[in-house]
Amino acid sequence: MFIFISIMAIGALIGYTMRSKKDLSKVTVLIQIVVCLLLFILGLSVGANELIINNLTYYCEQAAIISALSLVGSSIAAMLVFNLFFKKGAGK
Amino acid sequence: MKGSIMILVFFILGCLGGYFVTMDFDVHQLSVYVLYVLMLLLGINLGGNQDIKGFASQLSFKMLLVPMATVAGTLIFSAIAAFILSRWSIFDCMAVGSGFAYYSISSVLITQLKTPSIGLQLATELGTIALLANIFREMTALICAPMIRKYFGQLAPISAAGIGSSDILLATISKYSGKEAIPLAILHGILINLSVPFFVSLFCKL
Repeated sequence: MFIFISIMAIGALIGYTMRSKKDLSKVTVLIQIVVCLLLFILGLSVGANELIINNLTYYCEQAAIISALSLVGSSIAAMLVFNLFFKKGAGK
Repeated sequence: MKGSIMILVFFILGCLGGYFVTMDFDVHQLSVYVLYVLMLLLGINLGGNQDIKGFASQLSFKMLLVPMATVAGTLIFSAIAAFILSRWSIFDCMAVGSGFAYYSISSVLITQLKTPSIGLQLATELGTIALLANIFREMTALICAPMIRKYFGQLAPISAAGIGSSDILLATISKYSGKEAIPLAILHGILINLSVPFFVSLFCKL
């Protein structure tokens, strides 16, 4: 758990010291590529797993339930914060 | 949106590859190393963000309430999902929810961190659910932004977007919540970004 956060912190320090360099914008492209690679690898392990492939709708259902609830939950919380703290100050 | 589709394409290609080709190397070990590279790159990107200083002047303390609302609302409602999905514990559902639409990291993290406690099979299943749930969240937040704005107010598109509020959904948020919401959306995205590894590993350990 701490390995991931510390690697990210090291990265942030590197990024901060290099922030004047133009090459830094290429990092976004690199991230996109690495994310795709990572998802490809994740796909490999999912595809090799017959139990998951044979029950794909079953997983989609569960994923849809969690994502719908988290969307509604965060929207309601944002509405409460807006009504309680932001309504006067913020313009339309 | 283009990014989401490309990632989905790679994921499906991987699925097809895994289904039809037998692999003789340790896929999980490989994904851990790639994940380390990704975390480093994300850190560099975060630290090197030119916009941070420019926006600092527009930031106020109460802006922190919005990411807090996102976290609280998402986690409470994800916990409710555990009552519908009896297969998973409350903390499993909260781990999936705390991806905050960050499908890549959250799915791989969950698969890695849950393997020791519930085994590779269940961990891969939960990782798959996390991937799908967080992709669904980003796509829904993107497509339904006008509706979310209409029914839940100005800040809701930011909270609904989760991590995407500072990148993929920023244009959408600026369109429906107004330009003045941009600094808030970026701050929100950065803070949620930082919280994902923390919350996902926390709920995986519980």
